[in-house]
Amino acid sequence: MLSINRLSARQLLVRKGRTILTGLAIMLGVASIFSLLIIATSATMTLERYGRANFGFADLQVVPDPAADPKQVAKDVASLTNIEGVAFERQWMQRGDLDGQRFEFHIKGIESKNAVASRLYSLSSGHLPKRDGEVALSATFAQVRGYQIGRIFTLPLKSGAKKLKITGLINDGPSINSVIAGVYVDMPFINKFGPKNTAWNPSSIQVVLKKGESQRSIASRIEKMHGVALVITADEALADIRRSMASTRSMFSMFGAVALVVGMTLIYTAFGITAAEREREFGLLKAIGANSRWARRLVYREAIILGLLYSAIGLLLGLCLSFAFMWIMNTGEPGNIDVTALSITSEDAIISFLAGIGATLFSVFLPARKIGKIHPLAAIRPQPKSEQSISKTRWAGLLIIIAGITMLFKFSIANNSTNMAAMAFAAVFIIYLGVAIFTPLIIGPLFNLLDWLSLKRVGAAGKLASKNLSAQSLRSSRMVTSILVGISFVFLVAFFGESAASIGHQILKEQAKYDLAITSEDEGTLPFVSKELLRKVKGLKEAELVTSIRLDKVKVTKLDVQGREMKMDKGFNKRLEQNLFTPGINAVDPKLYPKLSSLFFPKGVDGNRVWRQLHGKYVLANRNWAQTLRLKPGDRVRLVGKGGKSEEFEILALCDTFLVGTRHWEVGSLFISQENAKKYLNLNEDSDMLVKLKKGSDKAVAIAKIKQLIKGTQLEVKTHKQIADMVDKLMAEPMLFPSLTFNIAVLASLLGLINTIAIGVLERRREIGLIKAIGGTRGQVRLTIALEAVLTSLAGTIFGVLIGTGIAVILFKSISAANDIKPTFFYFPVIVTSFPLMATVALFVMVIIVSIIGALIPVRLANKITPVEALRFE
Amino acid sequence: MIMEAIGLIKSYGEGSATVKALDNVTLQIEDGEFVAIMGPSGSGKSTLLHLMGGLDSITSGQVKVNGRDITTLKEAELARFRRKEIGFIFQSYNLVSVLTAEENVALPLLMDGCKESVMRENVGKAINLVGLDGRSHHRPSQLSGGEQQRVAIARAIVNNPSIILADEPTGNLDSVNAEEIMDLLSNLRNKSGQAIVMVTHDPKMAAYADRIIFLKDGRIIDEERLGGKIDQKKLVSKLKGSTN
Ligand SMILES: Nc1ncnc2c1ncn2[C@@H]1O[C@H](COP(=O)(O)OP(=O)(O)OP(=O)(O)O)[C@@H](O)[C@H]1O
Ligand SMILES: [Mg+2]
Repeated sequence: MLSINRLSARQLLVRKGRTILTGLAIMLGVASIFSLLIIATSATMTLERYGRANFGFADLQVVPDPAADPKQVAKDVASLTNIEGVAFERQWMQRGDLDGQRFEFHIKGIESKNAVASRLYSLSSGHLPKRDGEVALSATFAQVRGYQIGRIFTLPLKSGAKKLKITGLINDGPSINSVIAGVYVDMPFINKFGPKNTAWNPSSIQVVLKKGESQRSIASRIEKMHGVALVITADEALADIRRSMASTRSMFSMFGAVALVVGMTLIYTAFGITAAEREREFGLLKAIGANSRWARRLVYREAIILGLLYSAIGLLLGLCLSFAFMWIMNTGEPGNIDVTALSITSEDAIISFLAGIGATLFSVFLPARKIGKIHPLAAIRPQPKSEQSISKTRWAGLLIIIAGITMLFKFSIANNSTNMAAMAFAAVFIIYLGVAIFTPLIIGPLFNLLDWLSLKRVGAAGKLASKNLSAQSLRSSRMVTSILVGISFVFLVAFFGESAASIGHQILKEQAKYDLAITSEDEGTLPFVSKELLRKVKGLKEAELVTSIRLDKVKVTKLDVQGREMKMDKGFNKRLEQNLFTPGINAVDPKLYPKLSSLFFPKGVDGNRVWRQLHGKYVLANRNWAQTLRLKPGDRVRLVGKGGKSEEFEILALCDTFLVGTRHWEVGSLFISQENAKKYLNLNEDSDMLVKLKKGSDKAVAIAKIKQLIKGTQLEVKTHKQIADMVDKLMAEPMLFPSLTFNIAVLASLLGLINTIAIGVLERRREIGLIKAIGGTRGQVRLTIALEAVLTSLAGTIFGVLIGTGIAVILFKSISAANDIKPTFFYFPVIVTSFPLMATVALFVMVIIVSIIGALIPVRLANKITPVEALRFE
Repeated sequence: MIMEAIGLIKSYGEGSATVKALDNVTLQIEDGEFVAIMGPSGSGKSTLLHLMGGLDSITSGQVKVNGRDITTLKEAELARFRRKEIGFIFQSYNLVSVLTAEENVALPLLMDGCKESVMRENVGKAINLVGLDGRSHHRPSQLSGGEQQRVAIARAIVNNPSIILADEPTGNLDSVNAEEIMDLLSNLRNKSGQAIVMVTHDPKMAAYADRIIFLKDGRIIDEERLGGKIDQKKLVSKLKGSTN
């Protein structure tokens, strides 16, 4: 007949508006967590698969020292006893267009005659290229482009298109955004067309071990051999990928967790706001004999039903969201991880589902306690609103906020990026908790002030609205808090994105003195820029200033840090170490270079002096690189250049930069004068040119002339603007995941805002009826409610922006501090905080619109009710 | 004697703002007795009823039901007491709007952890007693005021309480409906012997009682025993006296 389940179900069914709105809060929370988890898992799995396939089927990969002869190293390695075989591979990256679409060709030279080589690649069909003129393509690329075995594939090299016959398709893992094409050719092809300089052309020696041999022990033996820079085992490579994904994952879980907090606040607010209306309901139950436990049980039962139902719907919504995001990612700018297959794991689903139910139960804990304490007479006469007085104990919120801020300042002490993310999240959570406790102390007086101000000025609706807000200050501040949490989260992400984007702009602005850059995107043959070409460009009548840049790799053999030789950390990952000790070096003309471009020096460093001094035995060091190695100005490094020529230099200053080209932006680790590069390091080949045009000269003509001059080389001419766009794109890439999160956050918090406002209105149907009963018009009701909604959400948004800014600034400060010691956490060259003005304006506009919508839908419903109906004592 | 109030005092507020809603009220209710409480507005009638029903805290004094002092009961015991011993009827019906008539009646049994079959039987009986057989699946919003009050009465008696407390049960009803409700209440009393304490402003309704207690300023100022005969004139003059 009647059971507690039926009673709760009936409550939920009949109070549809309330149920749906509370459910929406749960749904949003679960959906955002689930979709974030799905994307994180999918990205991890894709990268893992890609990494594994990319590594190939070898047991070890030996990377020879740039200075050593790779062939000799391969021979030495092959002579070891425990080795089954050794194959040599050379890789070369070059971009080119196919039907107007830009592809990144990863051209791999393989030793087709080597018996071991044939075992290193997993052919899905056909065979490896056996002679010059044959090619095997990666299976996914071939599938996307519709290539088949036996057909001709035209490889668009800069030096001219090459026609190759397709002999096989190779499974080399999921494609990365379908713009990366694996092209496998016979070694002679690379020798003929590929880059001569090995510095930009990673060659590796693939080693297959005899059965039962331990990868690591042999790797250690090889590492000790002459001319070997690095040995990576298959197991380590995989662990490396996993480790590198761990921080991405933890970032996602952190965002997911924050989304959960937002969702939880929503749920809590929903229950909290409805508690006032439910006071009568539960008072009645108590009057006829319900005890507190029974009342609480009823609340929990409702929460469980809600939690189960809407968490399940949330899962579905999360699934849709992740499909939508996958679609966005795939249609977006190329260059990102292409999550072609979503990995939907039951683990992620269970975590999200439990999180939803957990959050629901957690959120009703306090409301249930309150409901348990409701006086039996609550149904019969309005109770004195003891809860409306704001308790002084809320000042404790301030202490909690301070504790959270302290923790945020200190979060970088965690020993790895996963723990750092977790700590940062915990700190943010604690701050929010404090804010939620503390805000009523501000909001109450704020609305009182508003009431006092508006009483004199505005019409009936304004008076009523401000009266309502100030009289019900606890409810108002609860709504404000709920909005605040969502908005500040959105704002935090926006701030993060804006700052990251502005890094590129800021540095480019410093460099905005040239008109044209002549550069190449590819790892190609040095010299790109011959002495003759340089002379010809200088001779152009449009050119005012021309300077060349010499970009190459050196090896660092010794670091003198503050007078003592430095040892590397054991914990550093090997690839990073390899990069750190073979940094890119830029040889520039200290007189001309600052006139066409510049570097970004820390505050207090006199740039002009630095450039003047660079003629001496000095280098400038990239700040990030230097900090990773704990180097400071005044420290010394020994560099090894071409042909083993080496010399010690002192670090003159630290700098930040975006290089002209896009090869690798971390290659600008060191800057040196061109004379010194030639004299001490034997580096004499130029790679790029910067051109400043004469005033009034025709840019288009200059471009056309330069194009003519560079015909047949790998060079391209780019305007400053094109470079700027490229940098923007470059910055956008690492921001893509955060910006997806941003979308989720915006969606969740705006829906949450509608939700909060709507619940507030829904629970006041009686009040609205009363206004109408005493002669209020529909318009007045609408205006009052809309005003209240806008005022509430504006207060929430203002505080949200303030708190978001506060958290962002502190977070950036501590990330900067963390970057001094842990550069791998965030690899931005400069941490600049930049206020997202546009986003803020947009946010305010959206908030106003959305809050009006959130208020007017339920008002419409409420307006349909006649005064008598609304006032009828249920 | 089913119920006894001894020296009941109830005051609201603190310090100079203290309002004494009840000031030393002592009374007894006999088994099966029908008592009406009358008095001007604000005289403490509802307060007295709430204290007798364990709905509100007592400032000082005692309420004994079946010899047991309810002032010493803990929250959960008090809830049980309300559920088992008391049937409350309010002026404004106070039904749970999302539940049907019969489900509303079943509520106290549900809180009691009653078996489904027992619940069904008792609810059926109560609904039948108040004459709502055809309307048991209706929601409160689909019922007239008189019908809603019948549902409330059924809910009050379903647990077979020892005493029914009714605060102006006919206050919202027209005279025809009001008389029907009164007939119903006095029949119930006659059938199952429950004591009834009813607050009313209406002498006609009070005339159904065995005894009328007059309250003023939180004190009992008079008592009238009606020997089954209704002496309207005397009653009205008494009322007037109490109002002055
Ligand atoms: N919660 C409260 N706080 C302060 N004073 C109260 C409270 N409840 C009741 N009172 C006061 O106690 C007195 C008695 O109230 P009560 O409701 O018992 O009167 P009543 O006799 O039922 O009146 P009516 O016939 O109008 O219903 C009144 O003066 C009232 O103002
Ligand atoms: Mg009363």
